[in-house]
Amino acid sequence: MPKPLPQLDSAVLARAQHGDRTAHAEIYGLFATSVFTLARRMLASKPLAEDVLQDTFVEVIRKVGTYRGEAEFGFWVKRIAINKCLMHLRSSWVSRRDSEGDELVGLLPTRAAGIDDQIALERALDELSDTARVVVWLHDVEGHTHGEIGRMMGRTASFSKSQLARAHERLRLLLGGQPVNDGPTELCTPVLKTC
Amino acid sequence: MHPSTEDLLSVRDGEPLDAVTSNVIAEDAKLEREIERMRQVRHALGRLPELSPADDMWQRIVAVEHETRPRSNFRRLAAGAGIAAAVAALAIFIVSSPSRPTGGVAPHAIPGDRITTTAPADSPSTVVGGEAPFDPDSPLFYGRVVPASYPELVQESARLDRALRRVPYQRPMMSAETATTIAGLEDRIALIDEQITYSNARGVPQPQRVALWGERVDLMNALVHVRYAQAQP
Repeated sequence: MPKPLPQLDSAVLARAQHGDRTAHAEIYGLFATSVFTLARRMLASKPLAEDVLQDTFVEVIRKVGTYRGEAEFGFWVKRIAINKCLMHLRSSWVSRRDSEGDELVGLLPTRAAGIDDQIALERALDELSDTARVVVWLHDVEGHTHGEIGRMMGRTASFSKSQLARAHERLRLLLGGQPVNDGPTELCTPVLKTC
Repeated sequence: MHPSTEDLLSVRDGEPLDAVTSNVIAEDAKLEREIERMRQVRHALGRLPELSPADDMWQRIVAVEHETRPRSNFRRLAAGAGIAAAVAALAIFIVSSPSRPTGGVAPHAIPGDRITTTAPADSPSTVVGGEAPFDPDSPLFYGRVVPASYPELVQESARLDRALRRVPYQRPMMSAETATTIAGLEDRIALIDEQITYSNARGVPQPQRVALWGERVDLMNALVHVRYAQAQP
């Protein structure tokens, strides 16, 4: 379940829509942390997350007058941030990740004491390919459906599902798990070609 | 049959799954444990700590918003003319460019990342647009040597990505022609990115991969120029 978003006071919203800078600052104070966290997790880069935070709130300031309440305000802000993240990934999709490749061959697991080990989990998340990381975060943490993720990325729901599976296969290895291949039951993991 | 990871995730997320696969999973304790492990991963991801931005971020945002606020109609028109000229020049450059040489010269580049690449010693390099003076204070200068090797192209591509991010926030007002040009360039870059991403898995030969990276560098160069021209007052 995604974390509940802060609620924006309607009076603050009205002031913001009339260009009140202090209201803008209040909106920033309410949502900056969640937007920055979202961007940092999706992009695996603090400088890029700061860029997204900046671009997101510049757009919020300029477009808050067009907000009509169709969706919860925090959701509206987050959608702007997600779009900014996807734009960043699109522009630098390969250059930051090319050396890593997209294969599991040669992957060295980060042995974690357990999956509650947050440092290990954060490292593992950062190790995922951009696409897999975005999908796993949007689905498992932000609570978006595969259909929504597919649309946001200009792909299909099936694409999102396969990327989520890929992300979990890789997380399993990065967190010290083993591909299941030692008994009568064998997990079918196409990337590992175990089936 | 062996349930796939997608099947196990479907069970975890309460999505519909065919009866046969569901039965196989339900009868296998090992698969049930794997589903439980995936639940725990999801739970742990949701419990990762929130991260706070730097204290001065709001001041930076206010400053950027102020600096990039849409300008007067006259200035917009002037900027539009500049963009149109840049678009036309780039279109001519891209259309007329032959296949990538083994060592040549880029039409433009961005300072900030100092020149780190050089042409191969055995290939002569010429300067395109060399008549334009180098201006370290300008976002654009001429005469940069095009990297020709695979690592140089990757490095150049990353440099252009960084340059693109440094272009000031684009104003919401732009002509349809500029918007179409930017969208077209971004689409072509995305297509190249996808081909590069899967080039390893598809066994694409090295010369073709170099050509893909070369094309990406050209397109990124064009995109940086259009975006920069569009951001000018």
